[in-house]
Amino acid sequence: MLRLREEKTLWVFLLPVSNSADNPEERHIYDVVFGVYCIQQAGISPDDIVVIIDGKDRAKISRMMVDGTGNAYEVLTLEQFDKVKERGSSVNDFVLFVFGHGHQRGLASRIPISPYTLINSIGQIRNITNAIVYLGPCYTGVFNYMPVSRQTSEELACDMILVGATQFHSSIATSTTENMFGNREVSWVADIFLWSVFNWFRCPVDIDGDGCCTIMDSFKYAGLQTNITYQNIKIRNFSRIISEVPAIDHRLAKIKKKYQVQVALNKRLPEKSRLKSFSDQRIADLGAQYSQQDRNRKELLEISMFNQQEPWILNSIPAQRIEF
Amino acid sequence: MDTKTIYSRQLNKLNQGIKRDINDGRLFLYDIIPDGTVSQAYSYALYIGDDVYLLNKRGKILSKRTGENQIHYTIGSLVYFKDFPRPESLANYSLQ
Repeated sequence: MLRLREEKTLWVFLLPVSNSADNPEERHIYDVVFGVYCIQQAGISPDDIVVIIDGKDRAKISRMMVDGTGNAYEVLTLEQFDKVKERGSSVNDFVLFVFGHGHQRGLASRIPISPYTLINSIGQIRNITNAIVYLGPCYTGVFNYMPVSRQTSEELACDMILVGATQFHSSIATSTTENMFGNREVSWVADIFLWSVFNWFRCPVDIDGDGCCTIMDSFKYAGLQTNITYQNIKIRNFSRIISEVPAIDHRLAKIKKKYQVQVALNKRLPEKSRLKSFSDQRIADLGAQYSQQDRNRKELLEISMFNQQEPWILNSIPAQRIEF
Repeated sequence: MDTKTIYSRQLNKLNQGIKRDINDGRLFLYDIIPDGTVSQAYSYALYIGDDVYLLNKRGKILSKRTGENQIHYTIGSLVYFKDFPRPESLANYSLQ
């Protein structure tokens, strides 16, 4: 039995950003902050942790990391992945947590990350024996059924274990409040599967009863926890869907109409006038209200009605032999 | 992020639904540190998905900032409302 805590292990957190955005969504940054904080609480030294978060607002991202974890991590961008390979070549084991949005061909990222790209990048890291990858985003089933076992792919230098939140559905997130560094209580809509994985690392549980807390147990725990939480969300939201969605639709139509009227009026107002300034503010305000209502509607329908979660693990045999 | 809680009436110009979603962790509200580089009219930054809205001290939305339209400002604390509920930890759904 191999123990990650006793081996030289590098713990890597990766949050890419899609082409259409300048920065990651706030909730995804808090997923990372919570994950790093839990791994620290589990006794892992900050020296063995690497954080990669893409995005333009470097100062803000770094500050969110420091405030939430108590440690001033050098937050890397995806272009600096070579630094990770360099650090990785001096360890035996490599654990990667992947955050953010998924894509039908891999991860939503400025630099495309297909399943093959991810596996080849990790495979190029010299000297590592085992790589474990936890994938939180949507549609991560596209990373499943890949040649990651040394038993079947002799050219592989390391055994890779992949654990995914869901197959070909969106992964789900829900509101939580957690204590971060310095007793700061942060509320955000957390990726349930990754939240569960980190909760397991913070407090490992032996699910299969073999007397060891293995990577396989982390998968079973996070899979169960995800579906238990999801069932609760569905029950909670059932009556809300019936009672609230028609009201939201009504509000959205009203806001849209007001928005259209204001935009038409705006075109007739003289530039830099006081009236134009008020009108611009009104348009921004209506836009924010529409966006907020629309997000609630999507959350109720896409998460609670048209979804299911199928957590999966690839290369499960080595996962039974690696303990935290 | 440092966090602070205020009464919702302090931002009386901000929509109640938006306030509820801020406390629920769906939207994020930060106060802006006045550092001389940004207009003093801007007191808060509201994050809705990829979009950022700038608010005055009473919570009135003054403008939307995205893409080329970005301006530099320094955020301070994460802000929540004392008089709106906050979500429970996911640990409440935990396995027994």
